[in-house]
Amino acid sequence: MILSGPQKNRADKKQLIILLKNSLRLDFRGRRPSARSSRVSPLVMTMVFYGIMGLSVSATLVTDASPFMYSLLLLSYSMVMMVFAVILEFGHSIIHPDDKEILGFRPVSSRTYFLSRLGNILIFVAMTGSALTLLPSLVGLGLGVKWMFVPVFYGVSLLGNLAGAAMVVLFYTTLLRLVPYRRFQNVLAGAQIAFAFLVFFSYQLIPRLGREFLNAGPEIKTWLYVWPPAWFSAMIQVFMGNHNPDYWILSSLAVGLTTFLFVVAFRRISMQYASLISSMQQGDVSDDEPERLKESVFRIQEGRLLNRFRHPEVQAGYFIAVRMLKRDRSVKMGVYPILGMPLAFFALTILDGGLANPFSGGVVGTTRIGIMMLFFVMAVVVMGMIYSQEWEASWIFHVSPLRSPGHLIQGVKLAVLFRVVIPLYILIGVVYSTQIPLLDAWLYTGSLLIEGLVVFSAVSLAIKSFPFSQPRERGERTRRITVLLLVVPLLGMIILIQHFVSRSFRAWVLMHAGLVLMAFVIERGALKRLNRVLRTVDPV
Amino acid sequence: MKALTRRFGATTAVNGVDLFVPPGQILGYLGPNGAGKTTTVKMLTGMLEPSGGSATVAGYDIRRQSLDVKRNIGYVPESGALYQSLTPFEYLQFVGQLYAMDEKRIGRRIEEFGEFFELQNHLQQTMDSFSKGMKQKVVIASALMHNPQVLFLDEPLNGLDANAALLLKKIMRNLADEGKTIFYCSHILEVVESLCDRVVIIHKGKVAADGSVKELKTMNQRSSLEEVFSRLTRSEDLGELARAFSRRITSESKEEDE
Repeated sequence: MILSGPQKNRADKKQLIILLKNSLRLDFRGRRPSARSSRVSPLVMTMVFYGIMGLSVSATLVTDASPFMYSLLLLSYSMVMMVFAVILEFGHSIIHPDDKEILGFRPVSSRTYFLSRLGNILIFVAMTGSALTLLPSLVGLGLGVKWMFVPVFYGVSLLGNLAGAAMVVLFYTTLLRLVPYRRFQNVLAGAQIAFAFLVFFSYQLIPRLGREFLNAGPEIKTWLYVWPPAWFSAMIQVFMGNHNPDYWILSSLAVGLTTFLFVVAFRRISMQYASLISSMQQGDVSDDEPERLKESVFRIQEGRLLNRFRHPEVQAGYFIAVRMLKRDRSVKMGVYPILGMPLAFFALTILDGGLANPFSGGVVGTTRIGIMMLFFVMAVVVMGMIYSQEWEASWIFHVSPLRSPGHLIQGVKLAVLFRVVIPLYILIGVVYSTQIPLLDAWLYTGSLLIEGLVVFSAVSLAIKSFPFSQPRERGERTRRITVLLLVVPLLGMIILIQHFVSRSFRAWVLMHAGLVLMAFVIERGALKRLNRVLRTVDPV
Repeated sequence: MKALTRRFGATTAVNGVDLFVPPGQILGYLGPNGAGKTTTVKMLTGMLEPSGGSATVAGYDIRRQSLDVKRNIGYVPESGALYQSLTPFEYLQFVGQLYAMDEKRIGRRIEEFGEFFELQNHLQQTMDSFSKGMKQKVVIASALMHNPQVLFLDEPLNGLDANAALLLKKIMRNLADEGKTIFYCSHILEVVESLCDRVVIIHKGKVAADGSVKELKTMNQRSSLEEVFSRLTRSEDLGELARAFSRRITSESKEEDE
């Protein structure tokens, strides 16, 4: 096993380098089970998207913000993104029970192994974090600061990002000591939704910040003392020669945090790594009497409803999707954090006072959250359903006599619709009902659902694999979410169309009838395409 | 199979294989690693398109009637992969749905399999905590669910305990006696020798030998299937090769010690 005796305290440099090289090779190479898969590593794609995001956010801020606020907002943004990426992509890497199967019997000390894991994460953060902060460090010259700002901003941002990632590692390891492994996964899923909420909320919040706030210094708020990005932003000011006492105090907090994480906390955790893995394994194995799963009344009714579908593929697709959504760790982690996004937009709309009646002119705010919900939840969730940690089991789709494999995807989509999307719409409807007349509220919610169905149909055009048949690659989830973040501004056009259409009830009805027709036509076309594609897709 | 061929770029994995397996026969399909066994099975099960030649399985053409082929075959892959997040009940129900089986029939079959493989107390537990053998039982049950005409079994005894292995061997014999065709891939030559009516050894994508175990032994003047296999697929004397290799390892260790 991973050495836990007297040898556990020693870190073997040679082994550490070998382990690190191996993990990096795996990250960059990725797995390409299908010839149709993208040739570009998701990690590289993530870096490109981060570069674009860093550039766009810094360009928004550079004209109005003070140097401190510029650093603070960009660092807040990059640190939150990094934390989010580490939670999304490294859930398995920080501590993985299978480590014991692969390396447990090798002569590797607990500390060496932990350091290789930590090193892998930090290298990932250094690379993606650089993509996010390199261009903003150059754009920062537009603030009228000295050229020194470029290396200082870049270097301190990197340190801040690494500290953010290290905090996640500390969070994971501490949580694991307190909570049994099986429950640990559920807690993590909850944490992911919370972080997703934070990321999308802050993304939309930046353009809303007023000029006054953007020009402020460190004296503005005491909350800066509990917000780590502010500590690192202050460090940039100190390096740039600004010796305001607030900056010094805040930077000393940054130094203290970094020292604590890398010197004190990880020294302790690295020695306990072997026992942490053991406790995870015991958590898995000791459940000799796992919960027996019973057929609920709801599930029986659902089964009856499904029996009405002519194609057994729809039933099978629905059946497996529902269970995977509930139990498969990687499916859950790939799907539920996305829910943080519509929730964030919802919260923003409430902040904006946008929950107005679209049928009496107050459209923009309400429409926006609707569009976001439809687009993000439907498209991303369905697209994420082709990935699973159990992708190897997908051989069953290749040997089964599927008359219409596209109907499998339709079954999966139905499961997403009933189990994820419709509950969210009911939530929107309920919230609207408290703000606008009941009929208008549900009419509008229905219209959002119809618009969503168009997206829901179109998403089949992007699917090229059987459900749960692809392994996740590092960066894949972040890439999907980042692409969608970049698409958000393009939705303005739809908002505008809806604004005009809502003025006339006849136009509104006509538009929605057209949309239903469009969804139907797209679905038919997508089904034909899916049947063609899935019949020729090679087994993994 | 008539001149069945599969190429991957410049490599020919299966090269013009001709074979007829009558109903009721258990065929042992052997070959060294990379010989083309799995590629053959993937083509016959409709998972992979052949580059050349033709084949029919259960009377259906693998190119033109691949759905009919799939309806009539059962497959146990070497990986034994299944969706471990599901319970055996759910997995078998899901597989039954893929084969468009009637829900009542699915339920009945699951009960029968549960009892037969002694899984009845585990049917409602997710399989992530199952042993390799228990998972293998579920995979085997999934291959038999729809009463296929032809069975493709790739190392089906993987992980099974001695009793379960014995039981499976007896099932295979009984199924063959009832007219089902069994295509059995394995590296455990003792099992192949005792179970299979006929053995085909494939080497570098071509059939190197075809006959009953007895015929192969006589033809190659060897006393066991293991020796026949070695003679046909390896030109060197394996005993001498092993001795030389062992000497090299031990002498290197001694040099390091010195």
